Amino acid sequence: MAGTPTDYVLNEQLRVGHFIHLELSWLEHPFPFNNFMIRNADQLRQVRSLGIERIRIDPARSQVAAGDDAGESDGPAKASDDASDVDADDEAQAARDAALEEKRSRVEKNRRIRTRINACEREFLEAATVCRELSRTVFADPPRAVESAGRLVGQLTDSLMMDRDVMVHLMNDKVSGEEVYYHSLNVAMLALLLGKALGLDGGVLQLLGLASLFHDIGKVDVPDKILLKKDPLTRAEEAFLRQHCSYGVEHGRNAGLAEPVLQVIAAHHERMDGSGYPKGLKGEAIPRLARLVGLVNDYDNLCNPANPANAITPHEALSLMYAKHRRHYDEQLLKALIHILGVFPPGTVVRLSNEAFAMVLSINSARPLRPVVMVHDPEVPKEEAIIVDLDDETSVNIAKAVRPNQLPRQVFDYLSPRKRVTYYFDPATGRAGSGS
Amino acid sequence: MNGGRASESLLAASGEILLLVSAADCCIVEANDFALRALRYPREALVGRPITDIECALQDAFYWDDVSAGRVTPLNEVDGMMACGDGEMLPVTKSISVFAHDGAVMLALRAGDARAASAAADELEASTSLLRAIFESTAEGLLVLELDGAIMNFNHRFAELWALHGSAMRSDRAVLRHMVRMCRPADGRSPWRSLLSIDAEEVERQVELADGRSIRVRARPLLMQQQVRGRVLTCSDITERILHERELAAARDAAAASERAKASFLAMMSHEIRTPMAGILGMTEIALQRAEDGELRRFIEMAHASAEGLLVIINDLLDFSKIEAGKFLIEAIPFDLAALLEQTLEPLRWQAGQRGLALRLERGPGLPRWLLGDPTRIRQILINLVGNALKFTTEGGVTVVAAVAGEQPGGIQLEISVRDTGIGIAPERQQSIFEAFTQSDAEIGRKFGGTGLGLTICARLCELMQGTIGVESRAGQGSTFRFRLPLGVASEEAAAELQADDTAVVARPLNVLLAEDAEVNQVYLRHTLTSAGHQVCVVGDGEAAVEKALAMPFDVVLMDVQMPGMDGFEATERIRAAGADVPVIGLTAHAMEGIREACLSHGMTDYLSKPVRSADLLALLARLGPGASPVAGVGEVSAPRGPVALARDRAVADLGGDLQLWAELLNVVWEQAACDLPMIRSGLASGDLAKARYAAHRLKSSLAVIGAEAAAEDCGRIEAALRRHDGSAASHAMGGLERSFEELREAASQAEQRSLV
Repeated sequence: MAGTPTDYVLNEQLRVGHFIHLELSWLEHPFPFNNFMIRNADQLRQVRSLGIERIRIDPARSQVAAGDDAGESDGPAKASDDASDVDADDEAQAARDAALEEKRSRVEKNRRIRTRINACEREFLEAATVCRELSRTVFADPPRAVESAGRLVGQLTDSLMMDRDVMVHLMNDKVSGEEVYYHSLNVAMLALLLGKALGLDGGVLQLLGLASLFHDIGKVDVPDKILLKKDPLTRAEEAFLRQHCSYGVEHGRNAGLAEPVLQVIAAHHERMDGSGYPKGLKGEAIPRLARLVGLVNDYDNLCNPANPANAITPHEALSLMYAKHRRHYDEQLLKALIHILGVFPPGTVVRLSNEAFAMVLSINSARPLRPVVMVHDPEVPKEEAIIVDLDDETSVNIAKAVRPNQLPRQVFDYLSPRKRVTYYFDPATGRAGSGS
Repeated sequence: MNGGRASESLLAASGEILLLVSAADCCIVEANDFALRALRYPREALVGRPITDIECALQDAFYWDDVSAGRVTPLNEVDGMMACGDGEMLPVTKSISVFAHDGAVMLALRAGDARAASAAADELEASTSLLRAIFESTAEGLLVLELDGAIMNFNHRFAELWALHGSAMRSDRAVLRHMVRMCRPADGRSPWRSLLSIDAEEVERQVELADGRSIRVRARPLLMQQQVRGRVLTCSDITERILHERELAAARDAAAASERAKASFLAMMSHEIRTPMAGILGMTEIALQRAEDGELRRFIEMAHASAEGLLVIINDLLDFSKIEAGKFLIEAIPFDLAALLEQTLEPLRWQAGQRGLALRLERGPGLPRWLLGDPTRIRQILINLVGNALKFTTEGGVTVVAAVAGEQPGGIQLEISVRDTGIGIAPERQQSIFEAFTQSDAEIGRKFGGTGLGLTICARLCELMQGTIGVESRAGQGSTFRFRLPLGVASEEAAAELQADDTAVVARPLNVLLAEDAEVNQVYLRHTLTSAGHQVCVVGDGEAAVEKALAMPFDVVLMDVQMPGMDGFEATERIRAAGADVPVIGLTAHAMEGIREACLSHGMTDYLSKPVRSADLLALLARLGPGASPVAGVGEVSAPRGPVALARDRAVADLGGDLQLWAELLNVVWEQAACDLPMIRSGLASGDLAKARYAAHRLKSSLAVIGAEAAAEDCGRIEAALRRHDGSAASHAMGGLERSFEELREAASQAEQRSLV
């Protein structure tokens, strides 16, 4: 049938430009993907050396010049075969061995990334536990709550201040079986990252962290009916909700939080163009830390709204903030956030240039455009999904972001996009740490 | 300048946004008219503005940062987003080329409106997600396969139905393998072969899962532009439905079983009721013969009339039940219409005469003599209608008219009408008189009696014979009942055959001496013999038998073997001793071994075992015609004949030719044997001989009724042995019974197959 997506060519008919499907286990070949287009002679040699007699190709996605057909290029190939048959074979064999060796090291690296993410998830869970405690003790025993919050922020800041690149990992939203999502922890995480990127010193980061953890403390006085409401709020409800800033200041003062922290609590909903609340402050009138917390607070609320059905993808959230709401934010801070999270922040599902679907798992804040992605490959079990650091794999890049509901069913199940986008940073890896 | 203006005009005419950006400060240096219009900025607002105010996709932030840092790269046809002067966002496809102008690096940005494409993408997404929502919201599990077996899609319900998770979803192949593995191994061909075949056929299979569920899988071709592109499997869990169906079937079977039990009960009842009724009628008849005129005779006459009335009611009820249960079979045999009419009306004539009424029969022209149909049922209808007419008529008479109402291929429409001059039926009651359990009014019921089922039975019988029945009447002016039946005209050959049979059955009348002490048997045998045209003289003991046999010339003597005083053997010996060679047939209830030898050794010609089957008796007598050597003739009939496993025809004949009744009784026997056989076994094993004997006796009677001779005899042996308290002989006989029963089952199933053919 014409246009069948699967044709086969013989090994010697294979050309640069053929889009091939390797019908081998992922570990039996040296390439990062099972399906790709042969880009150069090196790759062609490597594929040929795999010794597959018939190779499955996708004619529709292949780009072989019309004249460049089997018969024409057979001559030189044969000549070289005749001349140094053995040498060529040895060479190819050596190249393949080297490539496989490289792949094994890549596998090892994947394993390390996985291990790091798992370790992060454990740390995240601990932090989440502290957060849960905080919301309980902050009214019963305010000094103790502030102290334990301070300790948590201290730990986070310490690891952040190490002189290394920082990886931002996407947390599985079903860590340990229960859904864990702590808005304040997420905000603290992003705020501290942003703070570090802006070069804030340790003391300020400490205040920033505390302010992030406590910025919504006033919401305890807002009825759950309003907080958890999935439909749009009425004007009265909206007015009630807006009170959480002033309530928060009160609670914070009672708990003995420092004045800069109270300022953040008061002004984290103010906006640069004066469209915010409660006071409608403009520009420099808003304390810088409040602008910072307000920015990441908005980002997290877009990704993780009260009604998950209204959630937009991290990429969409950041795009929306940059394109449409730019005037709400301190431009320097917004650009800094974009530089940390990149165009495709962790949690975004993307289409790669080789047409594979992938999910962005982690981002090295120093190289935000080349994140670590988990690739959908039906040949590879989901539990062992291929993880590719695009920083290493320069032949592939991200073509575009995809909305989860546009994904084919199996891809959706395979990549399982998160209902809640939760980040945790990890200062121990990244390029600087890869040597250790 | 000319050239400059020309190129300016060219730029202005372009249908694309063209912006010139300085790499040094990333500000817009120049814009074409189209850009001003598309972006809705006045020239002075656009020129000099930082390009990042306009370019607002996330990528752009990075791109222009790189440009500011001196890393300038061209772009070709990439997606972008531009902020318009009024705050709108314009999706674009843009390219950027880099060139040097007057020593400065400049970037030329060319962008096309991508709203159409983006709208199309949005629309596609909307329809995709609608499709997806539908795909997911169906209650059935869906799997879409490509032609090469690759999975295109499946929904949550599908994964749920097939318990797909983890490693089962490792690959397309693993999914299919998992599904096949979930199934219980199928008998014969695997259903998957056809379900997963690559053709345009639509296939539906039910697959049974190892976990006990049943899944109905439908496979349809996936057609795109008239071409088969894949296969869609629709799966639904039908476990509950199947369970439900099974429950229904069980309920239905239970109902049918209870229906059968009821029918068997009725069959048994008819047998059980008719037998004593025959006894009552016979006894009262005998009593009437002997009774003097007077009060006692009137009492007996009343008793006899009551018994006859009761028999009619019982027959009505049983007939009605059988018709309602669909157990009534209609025959198609040749019969002589004129004879049928005459024979039917004869007794009624007597009845009419008693009441001072005339009963006339009129025959229309062209009536064939031989017809094909069910004479018994036609007679039944006629008796009913004429009986009714007589009952409701006090003066005048009843006229029966038989006529040809029409011709039809191979036969005629026979119409018989019964006209009376009785009380008539009011119009409003004419509708309901053929319905069950209605009499035209309660008063009539009280006055004339009867079940009120007579007309219903007539109507149902007409229906069964594809005929019709109706009534015309006016109250006080008499009624005319009319029934019309489609009947075949019998061929001459068939009729001739029937006549030959008739002569065979109707034997020469004989003079019979019956020596029998049991009165019921006296009545029964007398009735049987006189009905067949023989003359009977009955005596009650051996001495009287000898006396009569020697005093008068009898054609045959029926001699009960066991009689009080002188028994049958001794009586026969005396008759022989006196030199009489009249054939003597022994009648014995003991089907024991050697009885034949015993009979012959005492001078008897042959023997019949009790209960005596009328057909056997009559056939035997038929062969004792004058001139025939009695001994030879009898010898021929009773050539040593061991008991057979199943003498069905004989048993059916005993039951008045009612094959249906026999079949029902057979079922009764199976049910009884299922209870009695284990009871005999356990009785013998546990030494409870009384129990075993009781069961053997009970089973023997039933087996005899259906003609299971061998098994009945075995039961008799067991009974006899137990009467002697001889357990080991009984056990030995039990072995025989088990074997006989096996043979009986075999014979019964063959008989049933025969009757099916």
